[in-house]
Amino acid sequence: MRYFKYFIVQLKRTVKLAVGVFPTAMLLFACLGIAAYIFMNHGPMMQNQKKYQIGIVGNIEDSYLGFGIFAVQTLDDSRFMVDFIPMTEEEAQKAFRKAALAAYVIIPDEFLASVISGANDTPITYVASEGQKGIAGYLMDELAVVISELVTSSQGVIYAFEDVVMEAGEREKLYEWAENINLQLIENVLTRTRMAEVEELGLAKGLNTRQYYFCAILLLFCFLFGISSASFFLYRNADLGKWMKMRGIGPVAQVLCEYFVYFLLMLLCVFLPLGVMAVITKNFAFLMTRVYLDELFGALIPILMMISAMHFVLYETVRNPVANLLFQFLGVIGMGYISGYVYPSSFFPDGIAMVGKLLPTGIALESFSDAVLGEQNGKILGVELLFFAVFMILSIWTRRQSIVRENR
Amino acid sequence: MVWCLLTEKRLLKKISYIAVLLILPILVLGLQRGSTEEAGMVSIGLYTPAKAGSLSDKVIQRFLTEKSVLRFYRFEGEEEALQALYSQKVDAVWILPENLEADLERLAKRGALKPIVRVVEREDDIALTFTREVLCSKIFPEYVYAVYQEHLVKRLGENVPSEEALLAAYDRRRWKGNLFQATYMDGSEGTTESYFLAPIRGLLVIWLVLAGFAAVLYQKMDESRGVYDGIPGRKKIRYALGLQAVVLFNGGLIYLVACKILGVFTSLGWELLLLVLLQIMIALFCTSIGLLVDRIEAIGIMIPIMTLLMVALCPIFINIRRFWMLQSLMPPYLYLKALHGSSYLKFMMMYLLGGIVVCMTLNRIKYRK
Repeated sequence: MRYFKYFIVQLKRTVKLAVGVFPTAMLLFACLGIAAYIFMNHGPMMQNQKKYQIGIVGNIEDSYLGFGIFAVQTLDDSRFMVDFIPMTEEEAQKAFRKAALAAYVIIPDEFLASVISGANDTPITYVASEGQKGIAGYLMDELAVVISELVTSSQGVIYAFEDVVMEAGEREKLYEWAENINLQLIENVLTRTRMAEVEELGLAKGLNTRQYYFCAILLLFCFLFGISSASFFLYRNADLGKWMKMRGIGPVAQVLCEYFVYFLLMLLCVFLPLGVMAVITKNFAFLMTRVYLDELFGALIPILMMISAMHFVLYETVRNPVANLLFQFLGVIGMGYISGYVYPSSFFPDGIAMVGKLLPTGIALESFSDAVLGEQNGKILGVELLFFAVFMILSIWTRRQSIVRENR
Repeated sequence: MVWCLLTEKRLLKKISYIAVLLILPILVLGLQRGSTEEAGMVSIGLYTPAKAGSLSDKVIQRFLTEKSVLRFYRFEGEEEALQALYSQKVDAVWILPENLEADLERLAKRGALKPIVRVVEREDDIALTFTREVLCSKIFPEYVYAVYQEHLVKRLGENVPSEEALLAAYDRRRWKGNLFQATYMDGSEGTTESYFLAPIRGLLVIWLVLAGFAAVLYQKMDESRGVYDGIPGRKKIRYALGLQAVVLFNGGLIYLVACKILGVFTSLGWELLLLVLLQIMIALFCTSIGLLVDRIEAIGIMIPIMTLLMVALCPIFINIRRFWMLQSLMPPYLYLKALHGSSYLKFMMMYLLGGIVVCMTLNRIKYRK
């Protein structure tokens, strides 16, 4: 009976706090929604569907370069991937700052002469990043290597051809022969991707972009909920544990009662907006797949049990508010990052990806992804429950230790 | 100053605080070590029925050994490679022919390109179109060499030099280097850290902002316990800024160590100058919020929201430039831009001046009675 009374007291306290926590959670949810929208429209996965806009700076009129760029834009296979836009450096900088360009390249006046002479000592500079280098910047680096390889190999062949012909004493025929090999190489460069015969299997790749970000953002919200509910934990009286123990309510009962009401609060703050969202979006039609709400909510219960237990143990062990906030942020963002909440985990080296999958963030993502795809995985459920048990045991042990310390 | 030292002592007595500070460089070190392993944005499976030492085998070796944002796996059987594609271990499979050399010679004779490499994909997209450029860029040099040989044989007939002489002539003229150079807008050269380590610096800056928020929370809790009761209202800001200084000094030191481990240091002088400016900006930003918002719960509400907005709007994962007014209110935005764009330094200075005025005005308004 006294356990029940303690539970009711905790419940009343939570209802009072929920008035503050619930709007926080909704605001957080809205912010995550905005972040998801921005990321889905500008993020690395969207770049799979958008052509790169690249500014070209430099005098390219009346030169081979102008012809080359025209040929690339009209004949080359890369026209499906990249748009080249000639402009001045000021225009390019302005457009780049406004995110209208993925990058811009500056072609120096001496570039063509340096390539024709074979010296290659005047490189084209390109600007693909401002501040932190993004994924597009790294792809630009790779593209630069690709183009460089195509140009320098063709250049090497032409000069070697001229050298050999000259050495063979055929100087008078050189111009005609060199023109022939040049024309063939130009044609070959433009049709280079014909070397590959592409077969498409037409199979889906697991989660699509929207499903992926839906899972990641919802779970990030659940993990960050710990910070939103700081008032639930930070206002606890340090002596309360000792006092309750004296009243016959031990650390196990204390932790279980407090945890259960926190879990209910979290359930409310996650299920309510999710339910509203399901109604507004006609059962998550934007995910472009049939979602079974009961399966989705069913999969979320063990995930939320694990996450709420994790928050609980964090607040039990790290009581200093400065340390706790820094630790939670570091934990959630760090774990989420390597578990594939921003970039798919396939982007990471095997070792890091494996660690990411084994963390609570990775387990939650795998479990929820399965639910969105309508699949079930008993092993993952087992791991979630194991994490839950470990976090609860740790919480009880920490509470017991703190009561012992208070008694000294 | 004495009060700052006492606060420092008080904070450092908390094991959890020291643990949080120390855990950051350890985590960064772990990520940095992990980044030396192979990784890639798109995974490609490679297979050839050709023997070791053949041209196909050499091309595959180049894919496997050269640095790239693509990740390559070699398979010993076609079925095994396709199975990896079905099970999503790889995004595409490239099957190189048994006799690539003969195929290239045949194409060189025809003068037109035809399919010689089989590419199998689950679903085509721009990223996979891009990977095919990488594929062709590795085979194309072999092809142009075959064109060179073919043209010389056709033109010179029996007078064509030996194969070794042709190769020597080509090697002499083949320039090995990159015709392109990556730079930032200020002309400084691009960094070469791993692509998945790139956002870490930005996240560390957000962590530093969070330290500022945590200091506000700490100060509010102290206030509610009556720690500042004997201090006149307007003078309380000195203690708020002092607490910010202590927390951000510790966080800044750890941040510098973490950046050094990550290998993203530009130059010590530049890093120190920008870090000091960033710390002052964060202190002013967080203190202003502390002056505007009294309740601890309300600050608790703002922390995750502000943090998330900063992660989304600052150049950490993506570079959005559409909300300039809002973005320039965020200290990490200007700092991250200034790292490779010295023109942003003046915006940081303007922020500092504006921040001081706002902070002092808010303090005056709050304690005008």
